[in-house]
Amino acid sequence: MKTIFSEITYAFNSLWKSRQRGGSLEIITPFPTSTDMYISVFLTQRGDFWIVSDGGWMHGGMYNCEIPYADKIYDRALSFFMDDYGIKTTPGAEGKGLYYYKGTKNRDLVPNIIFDLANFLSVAVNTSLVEFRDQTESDRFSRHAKNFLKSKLSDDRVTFNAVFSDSVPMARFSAVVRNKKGRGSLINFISGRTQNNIRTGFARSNMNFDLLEDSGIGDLVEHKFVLIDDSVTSIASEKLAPMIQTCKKRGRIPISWEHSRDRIIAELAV
Amino acid sequence: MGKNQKRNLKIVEDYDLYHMHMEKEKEVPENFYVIKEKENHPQSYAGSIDVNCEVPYGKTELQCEIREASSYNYSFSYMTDMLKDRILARLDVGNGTHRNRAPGIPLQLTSVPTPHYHYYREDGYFLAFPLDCVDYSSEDAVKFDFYKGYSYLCNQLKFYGNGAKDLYFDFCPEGVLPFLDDVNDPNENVLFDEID
Repeated sequence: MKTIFSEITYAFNSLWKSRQRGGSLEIITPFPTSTDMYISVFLTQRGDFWIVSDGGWMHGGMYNCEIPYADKIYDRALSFFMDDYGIKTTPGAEGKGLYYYKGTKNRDLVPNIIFDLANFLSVAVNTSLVEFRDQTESDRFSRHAKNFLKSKLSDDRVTFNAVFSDSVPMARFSAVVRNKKGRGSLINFISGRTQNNIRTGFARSNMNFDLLEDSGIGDLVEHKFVLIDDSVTSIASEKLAPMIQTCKKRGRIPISWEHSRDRIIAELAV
Repeated sequence: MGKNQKRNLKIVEDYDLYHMHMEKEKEVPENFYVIKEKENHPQSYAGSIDVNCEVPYGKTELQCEIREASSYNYSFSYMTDMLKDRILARLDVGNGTHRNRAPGIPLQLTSVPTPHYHYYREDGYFLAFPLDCVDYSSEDAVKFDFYKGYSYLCNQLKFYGNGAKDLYFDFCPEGVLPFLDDVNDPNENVLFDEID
């Protein structure tokens, strides 16, 4: 059993790695994230002080996750962990980014501050991945629709939740696909668990198209698609058919997500 | 061991073709320039070239992203239109240590610092592998610039040019002089309050 214990500690210890980065030492720790990474911290000596920071990585999205500061529940959890581990923050060089750090004058306590900061970063990153609220049907559909368009169109052509022109900032679309010479195509996503949600979606979509058309730059728009989530059974309701008809009459192209989403790509290619 | 990362089942189905494609020589343009700034990502630049192979795996291209205009912080992604998430292989250089979460990997080999090269294992896991040519304990590992990266990738993916000249890569950001911000020490010039 002693042999296996030494093999276990060898494997664990092998996860610690380091490398010099200018005046700092990057320490790659065994603390993992649920985004398939290991936490790195950066150790620097400033006069009598030893400082260990995260290098601005957590705030900068280096751990492949966006920190949801605006979420009140997450914000409370982050404050709790910062307090519990004694972590401070400071802006990065030239005010860019945000650094989480800890320091000590006592060289014997350098391992302690590294342990605390790495542990803090691991829990703070992993907690940011927890969905504290149920995603709405609309959020879920929007994600599927975005993934579909991203897989078919190059990154430099499509932007999401964007305006077509800065001259009409009130008219915002689920996706704007840029073509040549300032022209483009617009797509609005419509989904929802209830008929009322869907009706609101149509109303919002129509309002945005109307705002753009009335602004005088409507001629620059080549296609106006309304991508409808018909994987939700409520959308099949006869009560919604008139809304789809209204879309058609006003020159917008209703597209069924389940049956004809590839038509968007085909039309854009023409 | 926790949950493993997701497998790509299309790769599992097609593995022989994928492997054959990756091993075959591929033709690329002689020159690859990264010029354009990415939309919504100021200070990040991207470019791509088409890649042709006599054993095709969909329509393939090589994309490069240079972050923070740094020659030490970039990735090259080898892409196809045949896979849903498009990626066939990727060279990651700069920041971050990948954690391989797939069955059968001893704990000490799960941590793979940058630079590392990702490709698919036969069972569809997209794993990161260290580069043989890099000493990870030295500062060389954080000074693996995009010229070295492109050269590594050309060897790995067996690229050859469509002309008589050697393959050439450069970073020429549109509208600005390419003064690269190559600070390797993230703590440099950061003001920390004195503590204790």
